[in-house]
Amino acid sequence: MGHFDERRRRSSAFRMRNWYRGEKDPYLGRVEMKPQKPFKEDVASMKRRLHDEAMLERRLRDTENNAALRRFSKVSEAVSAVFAVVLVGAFLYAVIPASGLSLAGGAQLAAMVLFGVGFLLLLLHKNLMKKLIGLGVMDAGIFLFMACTYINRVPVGAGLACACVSVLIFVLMAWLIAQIRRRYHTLDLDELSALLEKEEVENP
Amino acid sequence: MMGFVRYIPLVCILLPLGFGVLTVLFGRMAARVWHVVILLAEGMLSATLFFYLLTEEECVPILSCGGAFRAGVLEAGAALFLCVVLLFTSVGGQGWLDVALSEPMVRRYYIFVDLLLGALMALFYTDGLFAAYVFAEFATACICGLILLDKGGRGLESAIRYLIVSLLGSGLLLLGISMLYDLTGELRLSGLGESVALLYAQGIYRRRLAFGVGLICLGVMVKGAAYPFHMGVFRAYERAGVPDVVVLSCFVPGGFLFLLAKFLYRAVGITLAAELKVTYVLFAFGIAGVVFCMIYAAAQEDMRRMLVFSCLAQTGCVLMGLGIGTVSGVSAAVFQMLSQMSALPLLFLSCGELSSGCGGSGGARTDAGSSRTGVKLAGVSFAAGACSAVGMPLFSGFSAKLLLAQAAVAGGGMIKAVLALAGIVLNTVFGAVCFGRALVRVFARTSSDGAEGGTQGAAMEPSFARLMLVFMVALDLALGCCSRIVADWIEAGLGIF
Repeated sequence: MGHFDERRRRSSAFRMRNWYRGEKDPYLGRVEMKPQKPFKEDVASMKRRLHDEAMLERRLRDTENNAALRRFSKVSEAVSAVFAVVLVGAFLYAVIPASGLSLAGGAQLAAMVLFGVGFLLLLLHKNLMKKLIGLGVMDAGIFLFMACTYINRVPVGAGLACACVSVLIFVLMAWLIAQIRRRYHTLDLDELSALLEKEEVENP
Repeated sequence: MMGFVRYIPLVCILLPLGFGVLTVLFGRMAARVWHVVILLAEGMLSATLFFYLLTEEECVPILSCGGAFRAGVLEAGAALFLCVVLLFTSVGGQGWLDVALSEPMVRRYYIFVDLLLGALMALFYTDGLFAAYVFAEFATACICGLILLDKGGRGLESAIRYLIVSLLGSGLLLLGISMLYDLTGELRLSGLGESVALLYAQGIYRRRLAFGVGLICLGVMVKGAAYPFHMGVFRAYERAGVPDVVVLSCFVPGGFLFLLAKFLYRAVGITLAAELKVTYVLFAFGIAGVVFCMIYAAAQEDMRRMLVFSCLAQTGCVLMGLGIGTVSGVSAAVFQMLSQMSALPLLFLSCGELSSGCGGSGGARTDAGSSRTGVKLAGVSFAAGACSAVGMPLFSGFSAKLLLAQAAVAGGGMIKAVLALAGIVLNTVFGAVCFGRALVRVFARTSSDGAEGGTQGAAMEPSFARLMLVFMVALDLALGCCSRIVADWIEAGLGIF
């Protein structure tokens, strides 16, 4: 090893480069480096590795035994609920005029309450069937609002087109839920994830 | 000429929709050829429209279907760019489809991509709010179909999660549209601008107006899977094959963000949006995405997850540009959108090739080796894509960030300028860390490692895949080097947007 190489290896730039490349070699500079052999993984060890990774993944998502995950889940649910409540509150603030409510205004308010209930069900519930019901309630709220517009009436054609699209998407979601129910005999989204992880562990 | 050109937007929408349905009749190879022919036809039509509008002395937009669709330079340019990049992606990624999917599934992939292309074209060209909602829902159904190509249970789970989040966005979007219609009695985006300005000047229903506009923006952001509404699509991105993930993570958010830009600029007016404080919300979401997504990306070991987070960060950049609340901000956001559509497909495709070169099945780890000729080329193109994503000079990412910074400093106000500059700097630093680490690991391996460790016969057909990678690098470099010309086109397009 020449004098120049020795100096270069001691420099902070060289150490920085090694750190950046993720190399931590305790024998660096003491013994001669040899090129590594190419890594070949046999089928058994690959299966074992995949099984271990799947187990680790499963443990990371195990809400029953992982307290931190449970706490995170609760916090995210609380944030979602606050988001939905703020949204509905802001809507009510926007809809209700200072002079008080007319009949159409009251209907819009009812539509908004429906929308809020549906939105919360769709956002927060773990059960897919309740989510589907939430979607229906949310759509009902929106179409009630469209029907109660009192300054300018929404054209019937546009309203019908939107209703058709909503119904088609509703059917698509119902079909997906039916497929999940048929294959995994569950309607709970978390349970479905757990079942899929278990399936991946058993058949890596 | 004018009579023919007027029908181009309509043909661009109907062609992929109609011929996508006809793909049901074909086998795998015929479906593939058909798909490429559709993309070429769409590209040529969009190019004709683009150059016609650019050279026309009377700078007026083209209206078709009684004003339901409206095309200016910007719409035609974005459609042309989408067609070109989708063509490169489809041709470059076809080998992946053969490896990952069975023959009926490959055909189904082409059907859904063609239908999705029609929906995205409609989002580009539509001038009606309800039409935008209908095509947004149609795009959602097509995306679900693409996710369901993964026949396992994970495909079902990803599809239902995506659908739930997307439906929340649809609800917000439709409610916002109804509210805005109630106030203005106008469904066309071009007619809304005047009504909204008049309503604001009269000083009545301001709360409703702000809330309606905010709901539409929020709905489009949720549907475009911008940070922090990306949770529903993240699993779908993780599980999808290489061409699917490019379509889902690059083109779909691009289409929705273009709709958002159109709504803010044409229907509300960017100055009025700033006065209604809607741009502040966009700016806040954008800057959060730019910084946090890049931090998440830097923490990833899996290359595809890293790229997905990087994609979300780029979406944040677009939102930040719109949130600046000036014309130059919108111009920078559109340029960023084009840059995202050129750099990220390049990264995903080269990452897939690197992965197959070292024995992976699509989700490459950051220690992928690059040795064989094809894989070396993939390594070089990955490096080019990474340079663009980080923002190295000459690449499109640099020009996009420069335009964003200039827009923020020129007209965003002191706080916005400082925050935007800080966001761009942090994004560049974390981008350099994560892409630098990936690049060092890609190129650090000796040639013998990759040659023996890699599977023979990478997933893509070598000649096409390599050619497409070269084209995509050239496209990104061209976008970066000719950024001034492209920015001029965008500004000309904004004049009649």
